Amino acid sequence: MTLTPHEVAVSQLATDQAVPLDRIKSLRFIKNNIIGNKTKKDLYIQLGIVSRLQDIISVKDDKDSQLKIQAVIVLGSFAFGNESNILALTNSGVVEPLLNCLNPSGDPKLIEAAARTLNAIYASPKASRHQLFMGNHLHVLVQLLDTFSSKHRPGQEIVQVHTAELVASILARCCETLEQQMQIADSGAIPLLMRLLASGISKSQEAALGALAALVKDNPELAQVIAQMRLEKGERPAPFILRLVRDKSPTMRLAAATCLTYLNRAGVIPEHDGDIMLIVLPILVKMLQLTGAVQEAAPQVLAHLIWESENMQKAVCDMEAIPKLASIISQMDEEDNVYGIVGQKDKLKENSLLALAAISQLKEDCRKQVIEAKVLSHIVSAMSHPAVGVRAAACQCTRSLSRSVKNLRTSLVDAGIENPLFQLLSDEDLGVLRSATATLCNIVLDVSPMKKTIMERGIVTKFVRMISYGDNVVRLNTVWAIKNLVFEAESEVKENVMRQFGYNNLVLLLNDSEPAVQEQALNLVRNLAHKREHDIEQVFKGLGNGQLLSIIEEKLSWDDPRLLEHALYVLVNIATGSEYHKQSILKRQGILRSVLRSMNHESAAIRVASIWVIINLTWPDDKVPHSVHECVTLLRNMGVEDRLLALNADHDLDVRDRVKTALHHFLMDQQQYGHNNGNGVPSDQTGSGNGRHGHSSSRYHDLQQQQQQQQDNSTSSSSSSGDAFGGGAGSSMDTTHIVTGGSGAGGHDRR
Amino acid sequence: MPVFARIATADPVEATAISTLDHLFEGKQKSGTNSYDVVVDIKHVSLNDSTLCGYLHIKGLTREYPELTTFFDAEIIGPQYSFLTRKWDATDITDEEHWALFQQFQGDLYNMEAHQEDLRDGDVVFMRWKEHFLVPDHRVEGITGASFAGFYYICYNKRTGDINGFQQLTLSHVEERKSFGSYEFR
Repeated sequence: MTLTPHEVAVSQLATDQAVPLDRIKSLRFIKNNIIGNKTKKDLYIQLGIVSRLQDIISVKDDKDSQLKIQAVIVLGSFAFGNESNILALTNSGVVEPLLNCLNPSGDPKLIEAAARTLNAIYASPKASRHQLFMGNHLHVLVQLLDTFSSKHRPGQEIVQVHTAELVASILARCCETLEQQMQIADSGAIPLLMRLLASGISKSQEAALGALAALVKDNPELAQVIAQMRLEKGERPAPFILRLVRDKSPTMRLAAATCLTYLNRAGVIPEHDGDIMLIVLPILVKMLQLTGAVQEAAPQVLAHLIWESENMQKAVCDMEAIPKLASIISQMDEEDNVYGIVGQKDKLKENSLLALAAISQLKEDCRKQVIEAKVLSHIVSAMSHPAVGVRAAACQCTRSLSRSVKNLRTSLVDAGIENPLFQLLSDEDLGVLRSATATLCNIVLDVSPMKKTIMERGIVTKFVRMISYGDNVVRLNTVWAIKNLVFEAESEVKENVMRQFGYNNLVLLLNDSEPAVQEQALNLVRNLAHKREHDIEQVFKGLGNGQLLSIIEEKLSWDDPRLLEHALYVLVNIATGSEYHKQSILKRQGILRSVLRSMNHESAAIRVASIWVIINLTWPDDKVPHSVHECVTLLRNMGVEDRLLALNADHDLDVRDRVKTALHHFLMDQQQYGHNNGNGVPSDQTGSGNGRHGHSSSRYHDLQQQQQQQQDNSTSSSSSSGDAFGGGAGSSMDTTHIVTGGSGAGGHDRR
Repeated sequence: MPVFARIATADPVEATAISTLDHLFEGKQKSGTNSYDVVVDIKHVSLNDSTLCGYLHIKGLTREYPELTTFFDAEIIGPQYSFLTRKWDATDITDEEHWALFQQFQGDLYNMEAHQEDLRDGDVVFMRWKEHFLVPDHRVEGITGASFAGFYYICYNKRTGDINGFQQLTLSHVEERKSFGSYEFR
């Protein structure tokens, strides 16, 4: 059997060959065969070339640097192949010897070649990076950034500059976690990168920008450090990079824009907010019309920049970014259909969808433009795309668009998002699940026509599974969705949901380790108890009177205003129920004290909520007037009335309006039963307004003066009838009416 | 009246903040000698965008549809929308005539300073309401005898809870038990 030339070449690399020249010839032969040739690369790997090359470069002495260089170059060629080639390299342990080739005392050309090969290997996200951070390697690597070092040999400047650029690129690719970012920073890379940035050599500057961007991404500490540094002439990096963002090279512009985006998001360059809007944003939008790698990356950077920023989203809308993105996405779909190619431009599609999701995140105008661009059908089909990133991005789009009553009722239901969305709820990818569950929160709203059909598909059973999924965001989104689902729902729907979901699960959520989850769970109770006495009764039955109110009492003691607000509204809603429901609140001193305390909360919304509790508890009811009187007396004795009187001067209009209604109840009671003589015995049952005038009523007299004054000053049309002290059986208690009455003389006793 | 479409916005922070505002109103819509029972149900308010939206239920408007519900949205006059409509074929004179129909309107179409915080703090809120489509089936384009191509000039009196509108659309707040659910977009 004869060997093929390839087998010959590989065997000649064996270390026991005495003649290095022959080995170099073999290497050249191999190199020429594999460049650009996928089949040959696979062939050589199968022939075991990687370990041979590894042996060559692992030799300790420096004699055969030419041999090593050629071997490293051949390895580099494999690294430019596909991902399985790269994995073949890393799996055989070739990274460590390559890192060793970076030894500064070695041949600069060897160092450059090793850096180039490593850079190509790290282009794959799957290549493991941990060897880089072990031992002395990181330090050695970072030192190579220093092109001015006295250690460098003369005449090798160009090689050294190339090496520095490659090293910056390696750092950019190995900088994904917080730990990695901090380790690289600690090794002294930043000042050297700054020097590279100011070097005036385009490729070096681009490489430096890439590394700096990777260091500041999602890292406020490093972002602050870098933003505060000074370049050679004393200038800070941001204004310098702002000039680079207008460079004639699109790759430079992209690198600069990316760096500025991350600095902006970290909030460390507020003085440049205007520049970001006026300069960086339009430049990114223009990149959408380029091609290649720049066009592919630009939408993702854009999305990152404008996320959560209404102003920027609106600005990007005005720049007509949406039609551009829409045409990118639709064109790709058309090409896929014609050529049957799937997967080639996945990243471009994913990033474009992400950009659309970001643009339509907050402004209804922007959502409208997305719908009008007729790209929705493409978004929906992308929800079933084989690539995870594309699915997740498409789902984010749907989520942004679904934050609109109009869209829920029209475009989204017409586009048929329900099916794909339901499928995504079983996706294996966590990012997709988070997006899908978030979108679900909006789909199950009262106003959405899809609510009914998605319930028929058994969404509640899915909810039960997702609660125990084990991810905080998924759990939060699930409770949120249930909360939205039962908002204003019919009693049967509520009962159906809770029967499947289970009150015991609800209790677990009310005691969840995440306050945000607790908040949603409380809101859920609030919505269950809203609207009908029957619904309140169901909650009482499901949770048990004692447990329900104990939970509320506990939440009322928290400092968190969101928990406090929902807990108060649970009480507000319970207090619209039956006498039994009201009494269960009134029996609890702890709860009443918390409500009283909340009336002085710094947040007006909380004060309003607590006053509503009082209003509902003291709501006049002719069927049980004595019970109402007892309640008023109880609250009065606790100091509620005094507190209300003080709040009459609150600076918040809503608070003042509610106070008036609440005080009206106390006033009516006082009119009917007279000055409180301690045992609640009514002194005058006729309610004709002739009760004894004691201490309390002089307060009311002045109160009426105040209110009359306010009313006179307001621009509203005068409120109509309504005897201040009457009310009568079953009259409408419109809470926005101001109590009118006689206006006597007398001082204003302001409390 | 020409057609315009302006959409209400969703803002997760605000849904709870406004959950305690009155949202149901009932009254009458007068057209010529006819009078129809009307119920307005406000579904969502966005203070940030100065918009709100909801449903308008009308009874007895046409024989074919004895009960009709449309979806409408609103521009709240204030920092974002001025008294001058500048669209829907409405001239400055049209605007002047109609706003003047409200007693609370102080007569100055151009003074927006006084109206920067109406929804939050003012006693009176002015709006334009525009109906868009039928609920539940939004694809129905038109109904014989009914038109939702125009818009309404609206004055909402927060003190009394009354809403008044152009064409004698008079609504007053519905007495209901004060219980409050809450939802938020995610």
